[in-house]
Formats: sequence, C-alpha cells, structure tokens
Amino acid sequence: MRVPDCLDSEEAAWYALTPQERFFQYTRLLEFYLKAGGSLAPQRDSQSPFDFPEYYEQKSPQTGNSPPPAIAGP
Amino acid sequence: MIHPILAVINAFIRNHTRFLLMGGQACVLYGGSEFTRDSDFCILCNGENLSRIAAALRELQAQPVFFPPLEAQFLEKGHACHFICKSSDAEGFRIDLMSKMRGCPPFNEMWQTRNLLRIDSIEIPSLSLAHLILAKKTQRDKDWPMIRRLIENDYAARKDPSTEDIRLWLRECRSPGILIDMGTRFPDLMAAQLPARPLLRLALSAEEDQLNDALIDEEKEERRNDREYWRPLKEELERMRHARS
Repeated sequence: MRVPDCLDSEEAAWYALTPQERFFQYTRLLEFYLKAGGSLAPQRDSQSPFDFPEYYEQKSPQTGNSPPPAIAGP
Repeated sequence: MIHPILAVINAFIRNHTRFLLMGGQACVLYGGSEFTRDSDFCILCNGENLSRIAAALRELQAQPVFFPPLEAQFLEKGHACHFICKSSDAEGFRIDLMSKMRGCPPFNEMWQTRNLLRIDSIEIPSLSLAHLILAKKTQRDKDWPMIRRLIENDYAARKDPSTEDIRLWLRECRSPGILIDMGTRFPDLMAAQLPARPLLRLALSAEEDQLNDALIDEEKEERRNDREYWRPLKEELERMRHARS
C-alpha cells in the first residue's frame, strides 16, 4: 500500500497544515458557524455516559444560576 | 473576536492551573478532526490545582451543568465535571473536566509526554497522540473512526518514523491496508508486538478480510469494557439525580 492511498486529497490537505494553521482554520470555521446561528449546545448522544436530560440543559441542577462554589481540597 | 477556546485556555493559564487539552480540540490539532463545539481537559487532581481551576471557572462565569460537582472525590473515580461559560468572550461554550480516563496512565505521566502548541503568545499543553488515542477508546461510535484517522494521518505524514512512532502505529492502527503495509516495512517490530496484539499475525500474512474482522472484534471488546467501566459511574450519577429530585 502506498502511503497517500490512505488519505483522500481533502484529508491530505488538512493534515498538511501545521497544528497552528489547523487551529486558525478551526477558529474561522467556528466563527462562521456561530454567525450563521449555530448552537454550542451538545448534540444528543445515546451512547454517551452523560446521556441524561439534564446534561443537555443550559442551566445548572447543582447550584441554580450561581457561580461554581469554592473547591475544597481532597 | 477572541475564540472561546482561547478565552478558556487563557483563564486556565492566568490562574496557573495544570491541565492538558484533549477531546475534539486535541483531535483538531493532530489533524483528525476539523470541528468541535466544546472543550475537554484533563486536569491534575489535587487541592491546589482544583482551587486554581475553580478561580479560572469563576473568571469565565462558568456554571456547572448536570453532575457531579467539581470535587476530588468524583474526579478520582473517573467522573467528568461539566460547565457552561457565561462570560462574554466564551458565552455558551461548554467545558468538560476529567482527571482519570479508562486505559490512560495517571495525569503526571501524561504530563511528561505532553505536546505544547504555541498559538500567538500562549502555549497550550495537550495530550500526546498516544494518550489521546487511549482516551478515545470509548463506547461511542463516533470515537472509533477518529482513532483510525489520527493514526492514518500520522502514518502518512512521518517519512522517517522513530521506533516509538512505529510501536504506536502497531498498537493502535485500525486500517487493515496500513497494517499489512507495516508488515512488509517493519516485520521485526510487528513480530515483537504479536503477544500484545495477536491480530497482527493476520497483517504479517496479509489476510485482509480476517484482519478486518479481528479489528472489529477488538473494537467491540474495548467498547464493552468501556460500558462496564462506566456502569457504576452512571449508577452514581443516577443516585445524584434522584437525590436532588
């Protein structure tokens, strides 16, 4: 198997970028996504260990809308 | 516009927290993914670091989502703690924090092999590729193509791989064609890896269909193990839900 066979041209182009370039492209993509009305809420995933209705809510079941409490050491 | 992930990481760095980027963001950096809407971090679980994490979360006006609360007793068991940011520079951005992941070594060991990515003036510590792959071996469909792609990308990119790179590929590669290719390129290293991963004998003999079946069985076993790992944790989450209702 020749190495390039395992990647299509789009994947190869993406991987050819440096991590910094990929990060920059990702930020542009997210910016566009948000401007286009995209949501940051997690998608429902029945296979996730956190697949409980409260996980997908935008408010806290622990403390209502208050900020997180100070953390006690272990 | 400052990107929400940079706002989060800046807050972590300002507060001198010890963390490692993982999940979808790390997959973007390694070329396995193009997009993610949240952020996942592995954090050192000790009192001092948790206090610093809490300070960073307050700066981000992050509110806890679901259970459990951010406490060492839960992180040490393998739970994840979830937050949603309310600050203007990261509004709506979700943060998941863990300290212990199934199959991964302790935080300090992962810290030793971290990758540092410099973005503008900040350095982002992230899980090594090897540890990112271990953390991705979950019960979810979506993580497995990611593992395959991360290794395919790494294999394609490295023209002069180290022995350690090759050992990683031999441990984690999920593409029959690449495994068979490696069998011809690195037969001795592959033979040495056989006791730990018996399906490699099918790569050495270039039996692609059987190798594909064996890879599927290997994935099924990992996913079954992950479900078993999470069973008591999910039961604990259920108890927290019922205690509150």
